[in-house]
Amino acid sequence: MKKGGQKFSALVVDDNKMIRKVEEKLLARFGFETKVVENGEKALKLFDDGYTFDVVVMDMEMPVMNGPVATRALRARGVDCMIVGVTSCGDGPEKAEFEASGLNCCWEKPLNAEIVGTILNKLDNKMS
Amino acid sequence: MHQFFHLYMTHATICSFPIESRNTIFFFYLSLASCCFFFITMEGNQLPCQASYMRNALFSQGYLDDQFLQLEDLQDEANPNFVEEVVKLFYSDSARLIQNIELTLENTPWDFEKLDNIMHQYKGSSSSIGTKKVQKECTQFQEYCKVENIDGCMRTFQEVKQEHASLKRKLENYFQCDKNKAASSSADLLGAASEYGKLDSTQLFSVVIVDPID
Repeated sequence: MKKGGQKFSALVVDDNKMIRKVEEKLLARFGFETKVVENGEKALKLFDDGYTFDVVVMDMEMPVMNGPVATRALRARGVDCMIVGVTSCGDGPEKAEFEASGLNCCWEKPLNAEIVGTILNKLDNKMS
Repeated sequence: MHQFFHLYMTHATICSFPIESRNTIFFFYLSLASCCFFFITMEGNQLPCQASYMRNALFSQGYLDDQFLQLEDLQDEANPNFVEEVVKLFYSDSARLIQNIELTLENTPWDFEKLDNIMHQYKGSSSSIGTKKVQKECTQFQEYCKVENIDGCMRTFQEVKQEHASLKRKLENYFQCDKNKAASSSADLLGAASEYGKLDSTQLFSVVIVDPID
């Protein structure tokens, strides 16, 4: 939790409805206020509309706008919040390209309690 | 559950009779109680054991892994059917992906890159609910796609479909059994309370007297 008792906020960007449901619930369990969108383009629109988030959980492969393109666009707009990539690609050139697009870190799917705990620790350390 | 209340009320009734007549009544109801306890033990324990047994078997037989435990951990009073809802979403999405693979396999020349992409999506989804066994077949399928081995792809795809269908049946049965267990527990509590409320003094004494001693 942030200082002043405010909750951390998270944005889940994934084209899979089931994964959005699971990740939203998992983040909420750790005290995040979470929004979900189904692709990178919708994520960009939220930021353009003035929304801010403490962390973005970005899927790599999505239709319309994928993770690497969306991440590069967010960084180009000056978005400096934590962007965490999630992928089921394993270690390979696609993952390397995704990391190079501006991620803070990249994790193998599925997102789990251990990963969210790590994200929360990093955010707490950033706040303190 | 309501049998317990009958036994309790019977016991209380027997104790209210003169001691001379109690023995005959006692042995009559001892045999009755034995039958009831046997019945209760079998009925009361059967449903909870079945749901637990099914769940444990899914893990011990390698169908599910720790990710499923994570889903169960997320289930709470606010979302009592969370796991089942997630599993339903998975099977809804995966049915579409499997159909896409089937259609792609029917078209020649085979598009191995497309097959690999679809299976990649399926594998990602299945890992999110902890389907351990089917993921191995998914990886194998992708290996065959990389070397453009269509026979290997088709053979492995059949295994993916079989594992997919098998786990779906097992999970459906498990969720149904779990719901039946919950409904049975609720019904027993309601039935017991209802039965207790209905008993009056006439019912208490009308079946008790077997061999009264004057």
